[in-house]
Amino acid sequence: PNVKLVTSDNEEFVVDFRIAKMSVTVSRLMEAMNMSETDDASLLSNSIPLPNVTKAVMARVIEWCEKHKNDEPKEEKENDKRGRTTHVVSDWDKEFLKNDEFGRLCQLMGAANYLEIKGLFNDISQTIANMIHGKKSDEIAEMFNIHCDLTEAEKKEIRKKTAWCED
Amino acid sequence: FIRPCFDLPMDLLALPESFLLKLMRIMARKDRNRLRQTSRNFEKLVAESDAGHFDYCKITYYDFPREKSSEPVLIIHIDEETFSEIEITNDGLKRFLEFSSRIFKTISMNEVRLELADYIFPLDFLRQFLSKFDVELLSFVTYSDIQLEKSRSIIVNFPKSKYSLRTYFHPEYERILSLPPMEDLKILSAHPENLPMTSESFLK
Repeated sequence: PNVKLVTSDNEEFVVDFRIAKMSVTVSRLMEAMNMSETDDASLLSNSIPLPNVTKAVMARVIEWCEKHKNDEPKEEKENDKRGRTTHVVSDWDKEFLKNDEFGRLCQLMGAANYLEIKGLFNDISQTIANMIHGKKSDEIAEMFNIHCDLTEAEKKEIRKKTAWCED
Repeated sequence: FIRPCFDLPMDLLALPESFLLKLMRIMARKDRNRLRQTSRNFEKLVAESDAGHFDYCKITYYDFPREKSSEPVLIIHIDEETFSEIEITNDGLKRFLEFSSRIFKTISMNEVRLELADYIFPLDFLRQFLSKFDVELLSFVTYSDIQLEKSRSIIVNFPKSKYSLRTYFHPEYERILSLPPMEDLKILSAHPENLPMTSESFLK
């Protein structure tokens, strides 16, 4: 069975029921609209409005979901519950995200957050953490267009105070 | 309509709070430290966020003379990372507390392992530093009654944690019985010819 999803720019995407269920937000909406896998009429007569996602971003989300639709559901580890994940971005996911500049990653991340697709959200978070990893502070500032409002004297003082922990 | 690239959000701080807090939890300590040096807003975000969950933190005391300094030091390991030696002087400990308060507000650990020493051990510092920690298991290695007593005084600060203790001397039974229930208790002799006493010895 298929489910119709409508984006903010009025584009309709018809996706497999399994893909629609990968989003907690869509699942909840389907439940609220009494749409079920066994009731074709309910699926045909309804569409799910997604006002916070554009066509371009939705296409990317669906591409990711297509790849992951047969993944085994991951058991939540104790560490995950407490916040820190040992999330490993798979080779396919790295490839999928590698050409996205930061702005596009943010849009995709915003959609993953809104649609509650945890795996995609974790992939993007880890990708951004990896982008920061090992960079110097001025490189991080340049990469993310961060306007540095610290004075040279303050920066020098911070570096002095934290030099020993950079060993 | 596809938004052009220049119209895309490029400000890391403009991202949803849930994302920023998640990012803070998965970043390495050095990366957090460098991010906080990029602007006042990031300095605040890093200082006021949770550093996430780690497997273990090990705190060891060293007092043998070294090239750099003759002061006794604490060495703190968090997972694979090792902090530089923290001199056990008022200035050294104050500097470290200031630093740690700038890179995280809270942190959680599967296990904190402490190897205490008989003398000049900065218990107040340790209590202050560990007050930011949510600890699942607090483990102690002790070699004397003094160290065992210090362990007991730290345990009081972590009523919700589990504990384990390994001693390399034979403490008095009364002292052992005054300890809270342990996940694991091993009483080993510093002399290899003596057999280890285990928690079972107290259950007979």
